[in-house]
Amino acid sequence: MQTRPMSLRRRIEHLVGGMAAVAGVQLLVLGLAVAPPDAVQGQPQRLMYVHVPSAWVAYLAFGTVLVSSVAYLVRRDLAWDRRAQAAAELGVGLTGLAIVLGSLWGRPVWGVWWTWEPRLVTTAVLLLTYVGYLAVRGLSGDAHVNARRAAVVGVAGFVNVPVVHFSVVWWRTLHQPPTLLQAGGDPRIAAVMLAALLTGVVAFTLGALWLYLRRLRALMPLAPREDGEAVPVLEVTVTRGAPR
Amino acid sequence: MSMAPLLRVTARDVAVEVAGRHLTVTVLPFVTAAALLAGLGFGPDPEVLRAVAPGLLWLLVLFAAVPLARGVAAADREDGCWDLLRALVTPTTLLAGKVIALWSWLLAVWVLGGLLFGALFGAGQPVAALVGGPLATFGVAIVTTLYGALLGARPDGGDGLLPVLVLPAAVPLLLAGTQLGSGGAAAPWLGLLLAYDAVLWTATWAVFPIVLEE
Amino acid sequence: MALAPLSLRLGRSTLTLVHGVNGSGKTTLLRVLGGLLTPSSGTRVGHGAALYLRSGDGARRAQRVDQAVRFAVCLGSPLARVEDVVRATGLETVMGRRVATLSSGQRARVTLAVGLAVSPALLCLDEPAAHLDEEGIGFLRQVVDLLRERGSAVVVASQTATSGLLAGADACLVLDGGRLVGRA
Repeated sequence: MQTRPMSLRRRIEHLVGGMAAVAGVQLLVLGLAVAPPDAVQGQPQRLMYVHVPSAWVAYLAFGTVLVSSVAYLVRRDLAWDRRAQAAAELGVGLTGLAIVLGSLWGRPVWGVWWTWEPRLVTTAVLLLTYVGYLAVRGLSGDAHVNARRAAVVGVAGFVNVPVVHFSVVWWRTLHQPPTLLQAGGDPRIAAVMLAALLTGVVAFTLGALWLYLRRLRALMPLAPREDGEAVPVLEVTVTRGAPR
Repeated sequence: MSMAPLLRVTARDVAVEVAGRHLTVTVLPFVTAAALLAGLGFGPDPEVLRAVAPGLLWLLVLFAAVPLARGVAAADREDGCWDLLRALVTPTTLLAGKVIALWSWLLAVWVLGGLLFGALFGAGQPVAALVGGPLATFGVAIVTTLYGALLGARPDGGDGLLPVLVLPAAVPLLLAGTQLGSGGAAAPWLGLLLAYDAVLWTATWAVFPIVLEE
Repeated sequence: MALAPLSLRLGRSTLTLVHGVNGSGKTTLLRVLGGLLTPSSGTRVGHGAALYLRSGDGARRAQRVDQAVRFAVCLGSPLARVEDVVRATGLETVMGRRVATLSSGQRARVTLAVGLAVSPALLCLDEPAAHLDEEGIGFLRQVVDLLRERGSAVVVASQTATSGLLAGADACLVLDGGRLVGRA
């Protein structure tokens, strides 16, 4: 039986997936076995090796949503909209994961499931914003209407994030000394812990990229024909001339 | 941007709202009831009531923005006037007219809420809060106009999503309004409000023509 | 509703009738002509403002008739007079009433009044005769004549031939399933 040669896209997808798997195994080894427990926080500190990367990749995903949204608004090409959608779905999932992991870490370390720490609040606001982004995508039966609405939310939602974060930082510093905002106190990190953290960043980035590519591929058959609802060639001219 | 069309759009929205009495029959009674219920929920300790009053006032303003958002586009669309507005005025004029009209209703909510919390909760308003109130309500008006037009201009808009979109964007306005009402340092928060209003206006002005597309 | 390829050229002071049954694409065509819908391929070149109005559109229910007309006059053609527009559409007796209290036929005339008040370069009226009686059809004819005198191109869409307008029309298009099947 003759099989079709694998496309370049599928090759890249497999390569990225393989690299993500390797990095993931390295992360498990470094994070669970090689890196020592934190002197102050103990074993729960190991959650940082996945919490921080998931938050970082979520921000990267939302940045991708912004770029893709602007590109769609300029080019009106639904391919950019699909890229934005895939990135937003990834970002929402990773943001939720980051918040949950942060809570799991915060409970034994701070004694609470949630603190009104600026980064946490900003992350929660981002989550809500991009849940709204995904929600507006499903309102209309017209792909371009959904894409346009989502792109507006994607651009406007991203623009206000720095101000949201800044205002929450201000708010917190008014009500709590800055030193208490730091997790754990001593900012120095051991080399092997840093290695585990960076491995986590690489593993999550590659893993997210693999998921992103797979999701893009899954979205393509669902994409409507670009001209499915189109109004084709039309030339309308209201001419100058003397009135009757 | 010419002032005459802007004033016409604003005056029209104000006149329609006054005639339709949506604000006076629905929103202002909601604010009154909410203030009373908040007193029951957080009281009767006067210290607690005075402490929560600034934050509650701004929560009420934000919650009132959601039903008021109907007046941005949904009500015009239902009456067959949204296409007329899009044809007669530029996107900037339409945006500015709608923002100013909505701002006037939000100011009314803020004023009523402030009076109620002053009377029921014993919470006064510092001078800085009297300056911050119009600034913050202006920001809320911009955000509500953007998303009110985005969702309300078509029948498949899904008004239920308005809180999900408006409220996160209003976080800086909520924080600034609350801190100013609590007697916090005024200059930084007023500066934040000015800056954020400028950012919101610029971003909304830039995307509004796209929001108006069919 | 998708439209098949077509090409139209509308001259000033012309009246074009568009006929077709429900779902034939009349509204889609008129919304494209009115600049509300952008063709995904092709061009729309317009000289002057375009306005699309469906019967009953153009006024908020809470507005009075004179308020709605004045708003259109002020933004559309500031040299026009509200009283002239109201008289041309037979709305003198209901000028001070709120639109919500009017009958569907009266609201249809308010739509005509708004279109006349704006007097755009191109006015697209979608089923303007839907709720009009014989007297109302007469006002529709009068409004179309006034608009043509002012240089506006008028496009009127209806399911059936509006006898009052057919005689004075410069062109008559028939749509079926989004396709232009007849042109006269």
